[in-house]
Amino acid sequence: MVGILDTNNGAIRYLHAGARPIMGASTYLTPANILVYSKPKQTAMQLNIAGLAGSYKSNVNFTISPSASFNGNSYSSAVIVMSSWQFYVSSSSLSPTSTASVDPQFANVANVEQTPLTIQVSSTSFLTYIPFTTTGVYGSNFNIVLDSLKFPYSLDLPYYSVSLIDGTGAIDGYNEFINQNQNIFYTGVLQDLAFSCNDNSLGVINTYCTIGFSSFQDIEIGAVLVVNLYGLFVSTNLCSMQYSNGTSIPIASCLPNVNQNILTITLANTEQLPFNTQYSIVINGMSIDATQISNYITFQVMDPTNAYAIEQKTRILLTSVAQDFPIEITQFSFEKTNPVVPSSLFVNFTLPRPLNADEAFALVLNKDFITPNNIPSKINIRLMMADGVTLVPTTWVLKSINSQIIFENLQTVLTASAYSLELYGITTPSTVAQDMISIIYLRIYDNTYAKSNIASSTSTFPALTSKVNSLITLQTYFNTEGLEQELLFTVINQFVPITQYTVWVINLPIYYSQPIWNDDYLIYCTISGTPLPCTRSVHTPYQIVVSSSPLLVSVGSSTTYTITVFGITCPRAAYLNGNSMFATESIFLGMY
Amino acid sequence: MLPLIVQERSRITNFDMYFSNNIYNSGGNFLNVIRLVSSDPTQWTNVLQVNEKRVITVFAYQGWTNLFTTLSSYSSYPCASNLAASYTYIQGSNTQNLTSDYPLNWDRINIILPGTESSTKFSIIIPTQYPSTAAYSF
Repeated sequence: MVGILDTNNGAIRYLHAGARPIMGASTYLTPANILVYSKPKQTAMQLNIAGLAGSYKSNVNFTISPSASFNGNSYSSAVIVMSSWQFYVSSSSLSPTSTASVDPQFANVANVEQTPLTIQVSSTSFLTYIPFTTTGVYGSNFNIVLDSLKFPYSLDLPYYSVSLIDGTGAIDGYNEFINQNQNIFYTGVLQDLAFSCNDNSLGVINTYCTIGFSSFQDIEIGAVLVVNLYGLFVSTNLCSMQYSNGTSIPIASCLPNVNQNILTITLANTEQLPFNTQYSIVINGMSIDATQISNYITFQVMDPTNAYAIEQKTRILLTSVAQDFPIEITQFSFEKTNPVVPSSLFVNFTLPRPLNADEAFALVLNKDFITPNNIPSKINIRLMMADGVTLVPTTWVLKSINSQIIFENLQTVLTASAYSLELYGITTPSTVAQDMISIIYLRIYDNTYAKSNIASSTSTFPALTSKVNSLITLQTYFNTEGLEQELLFTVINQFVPITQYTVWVINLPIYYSQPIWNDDYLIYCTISGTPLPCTRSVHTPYQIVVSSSPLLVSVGSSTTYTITVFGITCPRAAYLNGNSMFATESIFLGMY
Repeated sequence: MLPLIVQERSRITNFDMYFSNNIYNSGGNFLNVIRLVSSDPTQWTNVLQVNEKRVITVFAYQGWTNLFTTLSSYSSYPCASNLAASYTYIQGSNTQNLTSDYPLNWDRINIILPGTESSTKFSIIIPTQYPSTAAYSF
């Protein structure tokens, strides 16, 4: 029935009905009680195809063998092909030879309703319907000529059947192809393939390589590109593809196999990519095996199921002798060189190359160093250019589990030049070791050290000098959550008198506020009741700096003095009183 | 109960239904095809409002579920046409009167036409299967 659908509410108003389904009506069918195989098998009836698997071919003859009594004078007459691959695709068409044909007649401009149609009826089954009309009996073999037919993704001919239907809807003859015609298709070669790496040195651990290629065939929607590596390894999920003009082509995934010698790139293109066009693929995470006598790739353009190679080619990599320069650390220095005190560490270093897109800049800390410095909020890290003035903006995370401080988003920032790192608020270790801190390029995909400093490229750590422990006691007042607290230190200096040049630093535990005072006007300190300047430390969190004493105090047990800090917000009681989370936290008072 | 379909409604001329490969039990390798052909676009001249589309419904007395997979009601049915039409399978009733006077109770395929049917000749092919020699009414 034919009607009108109201798209607002889905209601259909039927206006016309077809013939009532009674015997003889066009809407009434009694299927014939015969088997297909009792009909004549027309062995000449076939698609005449052979060639490049997955390619498109024009001017293909489809031989049709009607019986002597074939009569095709109705819209029922057609060639029906059931095939396990879709050979008649959206770009396929009847060739001009066939559209101009008079007897038998095929679709032409005036008869668009007679154009061939294709349906996917299951995951591996396609029905192609090629209608044609003869003016009556037509008993001789003839060809339907088709353009831009799609060849299968296989070297053998997949299954297909052909049935010729006459004007009554009955099968006139059939033919069927099952597991035969081996190797009538073949894999083609790529039109062009180039391969180079940013660092072609033998033994390079992490570099990025570029594959340039063009194909003789269009590249399918969702095609798979496979890079087989020999004497090379890949560890990445970061690939990019573009046209020669830089226009990006989307990639759905880029995955190495377990052995890291096959990279499978699945495209996310929504249209076919044209043949005879230069493409380039950049692959990160490549390493070059120095033990192999040659290093090369075989690049394959596969079908979307990754089952068959449509085109492929091999290209050797021209390698060079290894010149794998390490990261060079030119200087270490501590702000305070005493063991186990709040201090700062300054590291000057030179990078041998820019950071790659799949790498992170990171510090590796040894156990002695990470143990007292595993609270990120106490540490402030600044990355500076070599001039010591220009700040390189970055963020970082502390990964205690593998003792790394990983900096983020520096891939396009760091170049082969000198930098310095300033780590404020660290606690110095009890002893220093040469491996206390290393600088690395970390390949993110598999945590490989792509670059690092080595012993011969690392400056010697400064030695630590022991500190003097003085008698210091602490009293606190206004110990109520949120109130402005008063910390009163009573100190006896043993060896060094207090002068106008003396500086005190007070480091508070992390359960205090990081900026210490809620408001600047609350910052107020005294020495033995006389006001003196005090500030927050410029870069070190939780640190108060008291200086410029107006009093002179000599050494010895008879010359006790007090340092009082006012206005610090009292921490929450829950953080104190034996809370195990902060058992190692303490207030530190030091002077120099 | 759904209303009786009035068979005397007008029929569209030069628009009809054809069977290709009309044998039974043909299986997946030689599938049956029902073909709708409109060879005269001037028959599709009724005026549509902006919220209206022409729809062809093909009812099947024996149902439309004989294809390779079991379709759920309101899922897309695999059809093809030279028009950009859409095809929806809708399951019929199991309990109501299924005689030929009540095709609205049968399984059906709704074919929603894009509008170009009034200017272009078209054909639509619908694959199906006939598992027996019983009469198939559409």
